[in-house]
Amino acid sequence: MKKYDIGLIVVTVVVLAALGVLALGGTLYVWWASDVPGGFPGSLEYEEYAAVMNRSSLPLFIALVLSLVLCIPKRIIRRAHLVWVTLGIFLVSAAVSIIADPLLGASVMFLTAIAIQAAVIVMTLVGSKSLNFQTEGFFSQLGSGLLHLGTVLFLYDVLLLSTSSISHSLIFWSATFLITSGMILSFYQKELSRLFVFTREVQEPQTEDPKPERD
Amino acid sequence: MGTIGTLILIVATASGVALAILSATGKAETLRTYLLVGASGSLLLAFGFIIYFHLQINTLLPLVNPFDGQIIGTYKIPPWIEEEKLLFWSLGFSLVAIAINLRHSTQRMIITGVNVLLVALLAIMLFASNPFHPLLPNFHAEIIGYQQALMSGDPNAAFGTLQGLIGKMMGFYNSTYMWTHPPLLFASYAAFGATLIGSIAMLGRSERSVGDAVAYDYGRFGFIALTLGLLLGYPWALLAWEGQSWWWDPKINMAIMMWVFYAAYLHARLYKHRPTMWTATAILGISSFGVLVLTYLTTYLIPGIHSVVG
Repeated sequence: MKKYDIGLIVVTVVVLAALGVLALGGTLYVWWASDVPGGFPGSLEYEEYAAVMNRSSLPLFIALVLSLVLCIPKRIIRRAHLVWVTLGIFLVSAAVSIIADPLLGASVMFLTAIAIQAAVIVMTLVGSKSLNFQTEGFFSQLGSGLLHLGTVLFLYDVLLLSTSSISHSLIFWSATFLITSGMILSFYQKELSRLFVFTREVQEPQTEDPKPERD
Repeated sequence: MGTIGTLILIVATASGVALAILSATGKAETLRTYLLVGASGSLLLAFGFIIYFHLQINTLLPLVNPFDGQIIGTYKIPPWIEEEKLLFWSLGFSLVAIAINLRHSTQRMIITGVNVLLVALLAIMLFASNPFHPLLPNFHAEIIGYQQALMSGDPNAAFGTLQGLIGKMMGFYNSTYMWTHPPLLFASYAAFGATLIGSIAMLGRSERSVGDAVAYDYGRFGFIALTLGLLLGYPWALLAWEGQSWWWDPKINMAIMMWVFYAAYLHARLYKHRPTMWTATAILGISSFGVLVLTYLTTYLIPGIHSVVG
């Protein structure tokens, strides 16, 4: 499982780095092309540039989504079944995409990932021992779960917005809340753990006589 | 108001310069505290002047229908637009500087670095981006034609310019997102200033572990503020730039770069005790700030929907 985890982290970092390089390339291109008569933004050249950027970034966004979808089931599913479950999700999504509609196919993948991640969060909250986490500590694991769910929701919102803005508000604000609270729990897990222990000590004073302190 | 505001900024900068010099010597701790309070207090006062100026705009410059004199809307401009944003960033960083000066008063390299960065921000603001000289030049240029037409008594001419002003008032100046998206980003910029200084200290010998703690303490806060700020820019962009190509705008590209760099810094730090990763983490912390500066400058250098250059 550890090799699988590191592999996914490496893939995610490489995809993010590639997105960063693409963004830098785009910025430098706009700088170079900015002397278009009448201004570059809004010009025909700008539309062409945006189309090239969209085409170039699409495989990277797909890779990012796939790495997230690969990342999510591993918390809940044992390694022996992980590849088959992940492959099953992809095959069903691909089949729906071909038979019905690519957006519906993508929705199947996203909604499955969202359902699994929501289950992971519930299991974390009830203290299930059968979850596979790289990090230790309740707040860190809950933070990781919320962050992943928020990220999947945000990407799904971006995808949905290209066709409909009906559900945008609900999905976007849920994603924003989950990402922010997930980051707070992950980054401040030590402080929260200390606070939680302190609160528990204050609420539950010791009933036994304290042991005498040694000099 | 412009002259008084500039004088306040001069006092803040002079206090900052004296503070940075004294920090480097490690002497006169009490005087340094006074100077730091003086610099931050001056910035706070300058910010108060800006808020007062914006309240005056709200009260004295309503948009009125030139035909019947009815008020259509009033400006509720946040105090971090145009050149004011560097003042807001500096004010935020001065609060960070106070916290670091108080908490790490014996770490000479770190507090000197923080105070030098504060002076750099103040000097850039004073000489290249003074919010008081002139006050809101772009807003002034937008509204002056309408005001002149209104005073000339030609309602048709005033009405012609009014439509564009209403659109910008509702979509930009009075937008709710204007009160969340920019201040969160500038709060993150202020925190990342400490990450820069902490990362530089990580490369030294005497204050490396404190440098790492300072860099991470402010880096994690900055990253949360940055992420939330960028997320809140998304629905605003959808509303304000509907039908326009904004997705690959240079400023947004650079913001993605900046986010990726700081994400890489925070991830690298998880492995900081592995060989070469300590140095790599420090270099990422430093280079991320370089990307931050480039992102800020993109507004002034590269044309785009987010920029002030054509």
